[in-house]
Amino acid sequence: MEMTKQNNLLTSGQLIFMIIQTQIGVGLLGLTNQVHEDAKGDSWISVIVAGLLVQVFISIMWMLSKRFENQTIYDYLPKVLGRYIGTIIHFCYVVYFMLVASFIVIQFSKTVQNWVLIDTPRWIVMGMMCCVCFYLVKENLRTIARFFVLVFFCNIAVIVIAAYAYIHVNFLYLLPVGQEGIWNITKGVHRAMTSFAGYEMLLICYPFVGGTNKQKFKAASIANLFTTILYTFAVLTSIIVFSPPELALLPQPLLYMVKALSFTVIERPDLYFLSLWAVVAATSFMGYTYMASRGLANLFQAHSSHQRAVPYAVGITFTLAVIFQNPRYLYLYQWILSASDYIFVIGVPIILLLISVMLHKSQVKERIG
Amino acid sequence: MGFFQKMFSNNPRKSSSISKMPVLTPQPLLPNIQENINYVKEALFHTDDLIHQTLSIPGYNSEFLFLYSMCDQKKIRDEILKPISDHRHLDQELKEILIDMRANKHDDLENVIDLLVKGNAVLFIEGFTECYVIEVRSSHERNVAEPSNEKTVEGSHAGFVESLTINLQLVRKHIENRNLVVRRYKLGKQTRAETVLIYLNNLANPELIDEINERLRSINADNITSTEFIEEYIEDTSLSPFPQLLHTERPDRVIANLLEGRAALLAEGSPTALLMPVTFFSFYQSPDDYYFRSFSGSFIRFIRIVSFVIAICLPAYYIAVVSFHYEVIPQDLLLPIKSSIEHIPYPPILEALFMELTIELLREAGIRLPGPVGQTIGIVGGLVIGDAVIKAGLVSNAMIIVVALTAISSFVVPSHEMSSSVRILRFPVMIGASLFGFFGIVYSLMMILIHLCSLHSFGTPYFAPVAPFRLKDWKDMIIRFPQWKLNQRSNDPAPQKLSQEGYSGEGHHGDDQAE
Repeated sequence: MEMTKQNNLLTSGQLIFMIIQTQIGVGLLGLTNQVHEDAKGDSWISVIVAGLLVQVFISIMWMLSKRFENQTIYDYLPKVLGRYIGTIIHFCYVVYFMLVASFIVIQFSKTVQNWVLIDTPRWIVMGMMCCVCFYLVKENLRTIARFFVLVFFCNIAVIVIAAYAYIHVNFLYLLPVGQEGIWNITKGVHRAMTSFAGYEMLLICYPFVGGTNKQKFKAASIANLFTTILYTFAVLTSIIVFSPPELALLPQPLLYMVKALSFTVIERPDLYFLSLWAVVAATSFMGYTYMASRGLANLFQAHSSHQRAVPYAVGITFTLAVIFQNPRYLYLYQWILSASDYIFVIGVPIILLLISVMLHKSQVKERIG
Repeated sequence: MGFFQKMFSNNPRKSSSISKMPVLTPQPLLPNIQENINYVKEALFHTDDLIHQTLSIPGYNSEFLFLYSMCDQKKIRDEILKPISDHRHLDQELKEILIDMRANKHDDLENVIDLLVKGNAVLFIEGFTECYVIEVRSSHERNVAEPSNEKTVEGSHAGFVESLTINLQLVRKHIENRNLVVRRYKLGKQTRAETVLIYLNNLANPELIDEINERLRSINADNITSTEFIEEYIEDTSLSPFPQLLHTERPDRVIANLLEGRAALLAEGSPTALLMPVTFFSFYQSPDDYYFRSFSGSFIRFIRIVSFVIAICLPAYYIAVVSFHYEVIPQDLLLPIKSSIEHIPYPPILEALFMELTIELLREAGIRLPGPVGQTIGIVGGLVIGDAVIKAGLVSNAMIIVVALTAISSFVVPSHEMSSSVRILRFPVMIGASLFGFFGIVYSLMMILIHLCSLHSFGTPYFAPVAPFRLKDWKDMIIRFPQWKLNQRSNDPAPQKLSQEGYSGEGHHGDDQAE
């Protein structure tokens, strides 16, 4: 319809939420436990440093995207690296996004099974998540962005519920600041990086966002700022609520913390918390599926719409999740992902940026969509 | 799959009988009266309500024809017979008689036949090459009384009727503005129903009007008898639980929407106007909100939105809590609820379905039966069945409370279509809750929200101003700001100009020192 065609682009405001919702996901619950293994009481510093590091990565991605203003990374990969290497890397990106997506599904179903649906087979929970995801991602990008903006309130609600825990906290657990030393904090940063992943969305969404380059950079930075604050809040709250030995035992400290709260009207707020978190996790999953299906669509036909690739992307993701749900593989899976995170999120963009600067390659003036 | 595709296929090439509208060639008047009358009679297949009478105009041999089922005898006396008898004694010309009759000249017989069917009388005079058509249509109009399905406490109590002319007049009377445009359409190949599209030319988005025009023109159907039929042909997504056109029988609602840059569709014989484009929240607004003060208006709107949430989620929430998450019930409440559901033999989802269906049955029975009997059914059903069902131990007390609250909430919506879609939507949510507890609710709500985000009504996003988010339009969404604060129209119908008022009276509201 004409009226919708006019402004088929996202606003830079919507870009903020696209990135936030993709970044914040299953990592929210397990983050503290992960970082705490290395950084202990200084985990919150690790998270802040990770946020700063991500900001640097975002700047690099932005510089790269700015050179190819009207193209997604899939479009300029072959132009910069040549057809064969470009296609191979393109394929790797699709696989990486699918792996991350299925990892999200696995983590999600694992947590759900541990906390609520103990007897429900995991593939049913996975299938449910995939169905909802398919239902959204098959729409156009603007609908996806609208939905992401709409469910942003879940993040706020998560903060509000968690803020109740400040009734019984002990700030002394934080002291002395810097107790673990720089090395452990750095290891903590590495652990936190996977939870921050999701800002790759910038590489794929960039041409579909209206506004100046500056606005887009601002949007990505605001998104990262919010994520950093939310994660820092979550980690900090968990650290001051639980003592270090307790934390070592709790896989999802946020949930245990919320579980102990009691209101006059409702009990067990962790169940509500988990329900809200389900939405947050689902949007993160949707973000990755979107990126994967756009890559998949581009792989077979340049400039085609992502919508036709969605069933395949969701199907493959679901199959991967069902195959690798076994806890034996999960550790390996996590290790692969945290390594490939650096390659795809920062390694490839830096190489692309360097090559394109050296060879003066820049965008061809054409709009795709 | 092939079978289903064939069954639901709507491809014109495949369906065998596609009847083209027969193009009638104009038929000039025949020289002889009798030949003309015979031609008309043939064309109407000698229908028995066609009457032909001889008229005694001095000096002329003339006859007139009419369908008595469509014509008013009194009008025939006043419009046709009286002018002739008035002029009998004077030697007046025929011309003046015809002027008194308010007759129109016609020379195409096919056209005349169409007019005859509409309730005109046709006068043939020997030796003339034209015939005369006199409007003597009988009309039975009911009063412009307040529609029973859209009552308001304050404000105008007028309602649309079955006559298009009166309805248009009701609208025009309130918008005495040269920008109010009426576009006529004849819809339906058999019925040729007269349909009008009205909009304000300086407000409504021209692209919107073009789109509506295109959709109306593309209707290729035999029978269109009322606006509700048109709705399904022109809406964006027919396979959606949510209505995408707002039905109303209230002129003030139509006027208010026209002034926001929307368009309205009215049809002859139908008291319902269709408003487009609309958003989800239009269905939760009633003219009452604007007639009350800002505070109470906002409060009522808030209650309505809460009613939407209750109507969809409450039974599902109860089912999820009782069958999965009984931990969330506070300790003091646990015992009463436990004692109430302890001896119920059925799972909560069956209880809920049983009671919900009972309420739907009662509602339907209450509508179909005549007034007083309908109320009796409501009382018998509600009180007697409700009480007996608990005593018999089929359904728990708590479930009755939940179901009753849900039923009341679903009727709070000012729009009947939205109310029925809400009643349908709660079933999938309930089933989701019975299978997966809270997660089932969350996932089915997500599905509903995704669907709402993807819906469009004539090119405008259906769930505006929430998705896409536009804070300025929230002033008139759940909370209704005072009129002098609503400086801009809502953005969703994409009106040509957003500003609707300038500085109007903010000075009285706080600047006390001036006095």
